[in-house]
Amino acid sequence: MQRVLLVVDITALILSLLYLVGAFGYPRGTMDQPGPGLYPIFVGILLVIASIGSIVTDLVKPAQGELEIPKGKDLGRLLIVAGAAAAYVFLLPYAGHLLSAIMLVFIVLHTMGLTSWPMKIGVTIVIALGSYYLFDILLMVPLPRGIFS
Amino acid sequence: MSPLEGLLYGFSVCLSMKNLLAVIGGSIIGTLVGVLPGIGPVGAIALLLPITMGMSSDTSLIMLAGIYYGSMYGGSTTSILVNVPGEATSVVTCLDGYQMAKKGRAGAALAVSAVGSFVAGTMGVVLLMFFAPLLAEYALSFGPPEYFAIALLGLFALSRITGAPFWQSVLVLGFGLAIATVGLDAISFVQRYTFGVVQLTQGIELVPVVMGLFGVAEVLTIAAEAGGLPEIVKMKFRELFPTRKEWRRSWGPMFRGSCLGFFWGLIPGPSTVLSTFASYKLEKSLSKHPEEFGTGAIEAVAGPESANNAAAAGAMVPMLSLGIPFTPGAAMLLAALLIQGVPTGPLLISARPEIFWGVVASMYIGNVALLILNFPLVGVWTSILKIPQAILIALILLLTLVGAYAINNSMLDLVVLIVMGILGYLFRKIKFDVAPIVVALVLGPMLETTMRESLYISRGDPTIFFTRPISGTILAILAIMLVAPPLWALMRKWGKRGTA
Repeated sequence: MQRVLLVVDITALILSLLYLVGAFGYPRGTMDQPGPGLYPIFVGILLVIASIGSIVTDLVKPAQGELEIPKGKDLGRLLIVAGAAAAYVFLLPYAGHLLSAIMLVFIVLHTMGLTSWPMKIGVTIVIALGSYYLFDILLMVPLPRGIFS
Repeated sequence: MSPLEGLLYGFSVCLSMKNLLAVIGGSIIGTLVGVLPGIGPVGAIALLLPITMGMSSDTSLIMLAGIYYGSMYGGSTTSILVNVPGEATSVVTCLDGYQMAKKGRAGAALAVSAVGSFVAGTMGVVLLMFFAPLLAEYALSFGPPEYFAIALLGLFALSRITGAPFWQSVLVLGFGLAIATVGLDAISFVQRYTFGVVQLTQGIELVPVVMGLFGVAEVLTIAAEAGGLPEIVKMKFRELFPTRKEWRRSWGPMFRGSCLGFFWGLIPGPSTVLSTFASYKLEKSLSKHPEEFGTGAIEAVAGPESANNAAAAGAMVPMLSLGIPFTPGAAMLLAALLIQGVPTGPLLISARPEIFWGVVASMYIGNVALLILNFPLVGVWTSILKIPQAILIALILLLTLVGAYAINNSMLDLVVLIVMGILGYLFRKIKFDVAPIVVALVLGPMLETTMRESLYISRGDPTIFFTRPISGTILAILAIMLVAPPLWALMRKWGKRGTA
């Protein structure tokens, strides 16, 4: 756990420094006319100090316990569900909401262990159509139609 | 408007058909959110924000507030019957509530929990009704330095109280503040951290960030740890009534938990959670049988379950009277008002009385509805736990995605949602608390604006923050809060060395 936290904190320090450098690129103005760069400089300094503070804490008082990383089937389920969500976002403008939702719901149901095929297909259709009805028709949110437009 | 006149006006607002439906709907969704382990009130409010955009501002806040305090009721059900807290606020209830269930007193624990929640919710709303207008009136004299100091106190106190290592909390807080700086600067119209992406000029929306950090991260956690259905302790309706002795032992903890919880709610930090631990400790120290705690003491259910409800009402005081949220839940309610274009701050109560008094009155009605929903209908809620996890996950994930898209019809919001979901999952794995990000995102713009306005007023003199009595006092409290714990630890260390 300590090693992982150190990696996280060092990454945070690098990103904080980049943020701070970026902040110096905006006009700072004067103290009586503060510009858009002044506040991000304070935030950047806070981030840098907090990152260093976290690194010191990790070194002086290391966190107890092991990092629980999912393995095997657990990792597989995690990656498939995350991948299905990302695929929904990617497919939405092209395939539209209905097809993307059918893909997402079916993959999640299958991955999470729903075994009955009629149940899988039925629930997929109900959830996908239900979400379309709720948002597109009831709430009048124009959801992308993709190839159906 | 006196509190009584205000309350009567609030009832006239609240008793319209749409607002009554909003109270009942919010209470039902809140109970559901509380019962289901996983998606909490913050994620649920974020999920429903797009739906409330078509409602009037009073109806929207009445419904979302119902979800917020309703989840405090529902959280205890799974704690008592399954030993799985539906909410972080019900972790303490697991300790003795589940032990009571194993002894065949599940019904009594559920009844005491529901009645305690009702007593606390009602007491909380009475106190809210008197405190919030007073504070708002006082806050009319506040200027930018005072708001800057309060926002700073809210942010740093949260990082001090969460229980996570201090620098880790500040880092997470800074991350939230940094995200809030992305987009077009409202004063100079300079683009910051947009990297040429046009959509980023609008800034990063709060809702996809919250939905990602709470909703998607929760879905990923469940996907990685998928287990079977929880085993539910069975119980009959006639067992729902506590004995006379159990009632007698519960009234004191309910009352003490209500008072303690409300005042915890006024303090920045995760008050709804911390108030339950404080109440548990208080009841244990006051009990004639402290040895029973952990084995099924009814005081350990009555006190904490009352405290979390009262804290939820208390947390609404700074949100409604100052426009400053101290908890993620209150931050989401404030976000709902901001999305509706309602001017928040001390003028809210006088300028939009239908919102403030409507919400107050709705809380009275909501608490009665929640008592009915959670007491005799407890069997209905536990049966929800029997729905296959796969269906719940698929439903929540799809609604989260569509909900995030629906706010601005923006693909960028969906990308933010996924990125935040993955980040939220990783933060959970390394035990980083994400709550400060939400509060920082809401308070960040306010912090910047008030800082710049204060410097304009003082013609560049930064001592304005310390020389004005109220902001100076608040900053002094903040300094003590930040410096005292490490100093105390150092003194204890030296003391130990001296005696060794």
